[in-house]
Amino acid sequence: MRKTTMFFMLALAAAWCLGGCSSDTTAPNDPVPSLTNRQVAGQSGFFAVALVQVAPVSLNYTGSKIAAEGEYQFTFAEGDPVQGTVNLQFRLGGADGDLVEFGAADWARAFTAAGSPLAVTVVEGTEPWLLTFNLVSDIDRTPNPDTATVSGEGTLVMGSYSAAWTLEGFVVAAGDDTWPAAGTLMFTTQGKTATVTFDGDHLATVTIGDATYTLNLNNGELTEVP
Amino acid sequence: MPRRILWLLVPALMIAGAPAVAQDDDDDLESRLIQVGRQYATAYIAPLAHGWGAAQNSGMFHTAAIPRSRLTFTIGLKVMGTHLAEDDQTFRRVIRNVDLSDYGLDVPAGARGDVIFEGPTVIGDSDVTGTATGIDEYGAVYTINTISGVIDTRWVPMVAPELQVGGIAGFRLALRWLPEIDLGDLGKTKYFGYGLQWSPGPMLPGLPVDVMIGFFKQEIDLGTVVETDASSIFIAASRRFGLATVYGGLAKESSTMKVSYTEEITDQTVDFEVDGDMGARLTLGATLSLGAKLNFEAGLGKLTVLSAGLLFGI
Repeated sequence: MRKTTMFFMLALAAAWCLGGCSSDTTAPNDPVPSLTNRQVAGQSGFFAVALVQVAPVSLNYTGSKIAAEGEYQFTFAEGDPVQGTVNLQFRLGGADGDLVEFGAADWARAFTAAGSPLAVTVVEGTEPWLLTFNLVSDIDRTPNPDTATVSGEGTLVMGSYSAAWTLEGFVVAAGDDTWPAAGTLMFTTQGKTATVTFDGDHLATVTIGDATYTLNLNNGELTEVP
Repeated sequence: MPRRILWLLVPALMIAGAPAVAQDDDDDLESRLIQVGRQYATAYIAPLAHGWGAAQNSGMFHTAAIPRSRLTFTIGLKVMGTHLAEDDQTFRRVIRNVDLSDYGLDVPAGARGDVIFEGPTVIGDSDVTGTATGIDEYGAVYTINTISGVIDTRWVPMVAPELQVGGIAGFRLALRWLPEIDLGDLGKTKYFGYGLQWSPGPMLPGLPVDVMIGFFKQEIDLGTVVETDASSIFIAASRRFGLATVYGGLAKESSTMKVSYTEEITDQTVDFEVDGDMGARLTLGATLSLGAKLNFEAGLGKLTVLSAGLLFGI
C-alpha cells in the first residue's frame, strides 16, 4: 500500500508539474501598423490645430470656479466635444512666486491631473482622443493684448496609437483672432517625429524626414511643399 | 451560476442549465458575436475554439490494459480543462488597405486605410470593451467600441459523461453522449462521441507494460451558433503498481469549431471555422483503483490540458 501510494503521488506530482507548462498563444496579436511620414505629419497637423485653441487658456481664462486662491479648475460642459477638467495655477513673480488671482499673474500653469486626461471627440459617434498636458506660460502684460510664451509637454492617445509631444517658445496673444507668433511643436509617435513651426499667420510648416508640408491652421489641411 | 459561464461549460450545461441559454441576455456569447463581423469574431473566439478542441480530446483512456476475454463495464464522469496563456485573454488583428466604411466606421466616403481590431477575447475581461480603430492615409484615426469578454478566465473547462464496454478480444468501446436539449430559437444541443481501443495483450509477450492503440471522435452542437468536431488517434502504455496504474500516451488529434450567427447591423449570416492548434500531445497520468477508479492526467502539446475522471464499474 505504501509503495502504491508513493507511485501514485509521484505520478500526480509529475503530472501537475508538467501540467504547469504554459500553453502557446492562440489569439492573434498583430503589431499595430507602422505609420507613414504622411500619416504622422497629418496627426501632428490635427493636434497643432487643437493646440492653437487650447494654448492661450492662461490668457483667455475668465475664472468662474476657484478651488483656492490662485488655483482654478475648469470643467467642460456636458455635451461639449471636450470632456474633462483643466487645472490652472496663476502666480506673480514667476514659477516660484505667490499664487494670485488670474488677472494679476505673470506666470501660469495649465495641466491635466494624473489619470484624468481630457476626452476629445473629434468625430461624433467615435471614441474620443485622450489628451494630457502640462503647459507653463510666461505672461507679458506690457503689450495689448497680453501675450504668453507657452512651453510644455503631454501625450495624445488616438485609439491604438499614442503620441508624445513637446512645445517650445509658443507665443500667443489674448483673444480669439490671432495666430501664434512663434513656436515649435515636436510630435512623436512610433519613433517618428514631426516638427511644426509657427510663424504668426494661419499657415504653419510641418517637417518630417525629407518632407515638408504647409499646414492650414484653420482646418488642419496639409499641402506638401515640392 | 452566471449564464456566461454556462457557455464555457458546455456540455455540462446540457445537463444543468441549458434552457436558460435560450432567454435574452446580454451576457452570453451570441449576444456579443452578433455585434461584430467575421474577422473580429474569428480572433475573438480563437482561444475558446482552440481550448475547447484540446479539452474534448482529453481523458481518452486511464489504462492500457484491456482484458481479452472478461467483459468489463465502466461508467463515469470526465472533467477536463485547457489552461490557456495569459496573452490569450486579449487579441489584436490588423486588416490592411481596406475601405474603412465597410467596418462600421463613420468616415468620409471612399476613405481607405488600415483597421485594427483589439480588446478582450471571449475569455478576457468582461468589464473591458474592445475597439475597432481605422486610420486613413492622412493619419486621421477613428475608433468605435466593440464587445467585451464573456468571462475572465484562463481555463476552458468541459465535462463529459463516459461509458466503456470492453474485454472482448482486447477491444474496448467508449461512448460519450448527452441527450438533446431544445434551446428554442437557438436550436438544439447535441453531444456524441465514440471511440475504440485495442490492446494486443499476450500477443506481445515480455513487455514490461500494457500497450494499446485507439481512436476517438466527438461532436458537440451548441444550438445553432457553435458546432465542434474533435478526433484523436493514440497509442498508450501503462503499468500497474498495486492499487495505482501509471500511464502515458502519444496522440495525433484535430478539432474544428464552426460558428454561425446573424450579424445584427447587416442582418447577414456570418459563418466561419477555426481549426484547433493542438495537433499532437503527450499524455501522462495515473489511476488509483479503490473500488471506484480515480484518475488524473496532463495532456501536453501546444496547449496544456489537465483532466480527471471518476469511474465506476466492473
